[in-house]
Amino acid sequence: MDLVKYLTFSFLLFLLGIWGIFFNRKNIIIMLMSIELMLLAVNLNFLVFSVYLDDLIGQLFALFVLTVAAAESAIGLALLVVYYRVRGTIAVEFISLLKG
Amino acid sequence: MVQPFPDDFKPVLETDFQIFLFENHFKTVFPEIFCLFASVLLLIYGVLYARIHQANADTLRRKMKIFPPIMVNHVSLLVILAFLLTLILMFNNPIMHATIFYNTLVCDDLIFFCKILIICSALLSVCISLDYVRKQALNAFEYIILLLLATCSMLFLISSADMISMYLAIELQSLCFYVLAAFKRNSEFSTEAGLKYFVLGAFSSGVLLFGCSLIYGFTGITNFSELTKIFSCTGENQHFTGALIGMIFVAVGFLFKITAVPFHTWAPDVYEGSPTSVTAFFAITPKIAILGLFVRLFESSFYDLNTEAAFSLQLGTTQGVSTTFNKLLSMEFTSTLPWQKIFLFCSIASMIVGALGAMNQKKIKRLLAYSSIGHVGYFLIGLCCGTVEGIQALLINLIIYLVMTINIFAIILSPVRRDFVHSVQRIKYISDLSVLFKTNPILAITLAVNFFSMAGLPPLAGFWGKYYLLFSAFSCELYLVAIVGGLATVLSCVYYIRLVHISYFEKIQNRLIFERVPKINGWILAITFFFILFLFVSPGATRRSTSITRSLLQRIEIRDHITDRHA
Amino acid sequence: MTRSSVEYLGILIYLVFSCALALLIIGLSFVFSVRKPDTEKISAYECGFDPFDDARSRFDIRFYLVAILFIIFDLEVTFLFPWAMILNRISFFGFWSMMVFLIILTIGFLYEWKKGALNWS
Repeated sequence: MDLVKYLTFSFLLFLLGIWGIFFNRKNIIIMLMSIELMLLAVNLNFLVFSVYLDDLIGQLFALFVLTVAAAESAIGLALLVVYYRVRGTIAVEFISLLKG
Repeated sequence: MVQPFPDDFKPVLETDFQIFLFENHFKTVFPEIFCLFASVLLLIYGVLYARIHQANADTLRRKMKIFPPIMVNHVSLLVILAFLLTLILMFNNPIMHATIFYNTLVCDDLIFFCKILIICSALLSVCISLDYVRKQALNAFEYIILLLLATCSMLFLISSADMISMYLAIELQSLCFYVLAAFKRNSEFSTEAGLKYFVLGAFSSGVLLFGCSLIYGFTGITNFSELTKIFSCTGENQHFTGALIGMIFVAVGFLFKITAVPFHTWAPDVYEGSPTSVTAFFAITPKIAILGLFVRLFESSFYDLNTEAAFSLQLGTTQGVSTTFNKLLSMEFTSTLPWQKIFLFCSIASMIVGALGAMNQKKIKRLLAYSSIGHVGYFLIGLCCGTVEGIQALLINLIIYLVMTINIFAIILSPVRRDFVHSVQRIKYISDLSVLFKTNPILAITLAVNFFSMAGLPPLAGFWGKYYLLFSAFSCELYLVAIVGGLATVLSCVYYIRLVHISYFEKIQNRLIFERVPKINGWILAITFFFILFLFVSPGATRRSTSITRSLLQRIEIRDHITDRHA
Repeated sequence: MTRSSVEYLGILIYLVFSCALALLIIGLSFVFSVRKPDTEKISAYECGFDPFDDARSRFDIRFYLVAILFIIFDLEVTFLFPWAMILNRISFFGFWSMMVFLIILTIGFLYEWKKGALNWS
């Protein structure tokens, strides 16, 4: 099993997620999707390592991460709904009320 | 193909013996379980009775045009009761030292101490915000239950001994925090703060998790104590480069959460936007939990993780800097362990940015955010020493920081009446402080003494915290960080004293009056003021209270013993 | 053919069969249906009016809320499935730990219900 290929792939996915969070200028839904992408990259990492090491803990961890990611996205969507009700937009460029 | 279960598979939970063991395990975490069940039961209580109260409130709103808070009083008093009971259970817990639930949770003296600190800080921050919650439009009882739940998850976080339990605990904590930050649903600022906190918090969780996956992948272990063993027993030619990268990711994820400097950008925004009572909670409690976890994670698990790979920072060769400084830098950054390098850098950067960033702030909550960033820098000094003195200084400083921050937030949360506005408000801008001395001189003295203490002027409590920290940094030859710490103290004096100047000598710009401080805030202010002012009588008191680090000392000795044997 | 590919052969056959069946049913409706289009029939039908704006505009925000509520209850299956697989191997302790989990989940559901989050209007 070629570990490096899998790791490169999951690392690229992770970087893509980070890129989506920090360099996206459109709307916040894309940010939520990028966060999910990051967590899925981590999950892939765990599963690959779990198979590689022949150890069950990685799969267990992946299961927990999956659940937590769902809860996190639920809260993210809820915050988004509240924000939309107050501001009437979810574009990233308008999140600038709080500035120092 | 691997068969899922071989024929001789023996489930571990089958015998009565194991279940008996588990019963003891439940006794060990009984305070946490109580806390969890209290929050769930209060949720049911709240939601069942809130509808009745809602009906009453609707008629009141229609007839008299007033907005009575729904259920907030009952539930917050019950939550305070729950906190007190948890404290009592914690003190009367028969089992103090245990590793439980298949090595996923652990209890010892250090953890006990941090748990007590966490519960105290949560309790105090609920107490000082009772009046605020009652009078502000925070019209929901869930707020206070979320605080209880977040505290409970921090108790689990601090006693976690495995990456899985650590991740689950910190996620529960962060999920509660995202909702808390956005709790003023009608305020644009609060919802925006919640959204910002969510995006950056989720990002930092992702980074943390990626680190966990790398450590798991390159060692095959998720347990902290086993990580200690594997890293301390490595020979000369074994390098855990993958695990080192994982460790860096984990550290970055956590440094995001305690607002250390390169990762601090969200903190002022979130602190400003979220409701003030929530800001008080954010400023203290999570820092205690995460720093307590840091002590166990980095001072024992990752302590010996060292590689000669390309990660040693080549800072000594920078041109244009004086040679002594060069020498200091190179000494500081080459003779230390990898995890120490990260914390050294973050500590120095946090102290400087915390002091400079607070200089030209106009809003008081932003200023306090920068002040807390600076304090995180000081905490990290204690952490990066890697000695028992350092940890002790860190714990002492945590107590002092807790007291000072509760004090300052009790002042900020005291009610203010503006002209032509009927509702009770809170101070928001720094210039609002200019009326403080004229309308409430006792509060002004408290504020002045607290700011002098935060700045670190000698006889007050803040000075002793910094004294112990810088002393421990000197004693393990981290001169650069100690010198920067001293300079940052001088810098931060500037803005603290500016605040005192505004509250005493500035011409009144705003027409507002400080009202009578609520009774419970008054008591808390009095006690914390007394602590800040008279700690110098016996500064050893806090030091003695942290003598629980002796169990940690033993652990470090054992660790060093293992290392010597294998060296 | 290696052993592992034999093992998944059933799934492949099933996949092919289900795809073929779906295509067959859709195709049959194309073949046998009677189509006599005229202008009234192919115009967009919205209570007799022409449509006011694009059909792909925004959703009602309540769909999001229902989706949020659904996610949590959807994921309990992730834990229930492995638990159900080995229920005969774990003793009553395992059974009751899952029951505690489900009870806490039910409390969450109760909270939602009483809060009125499930009411559409």
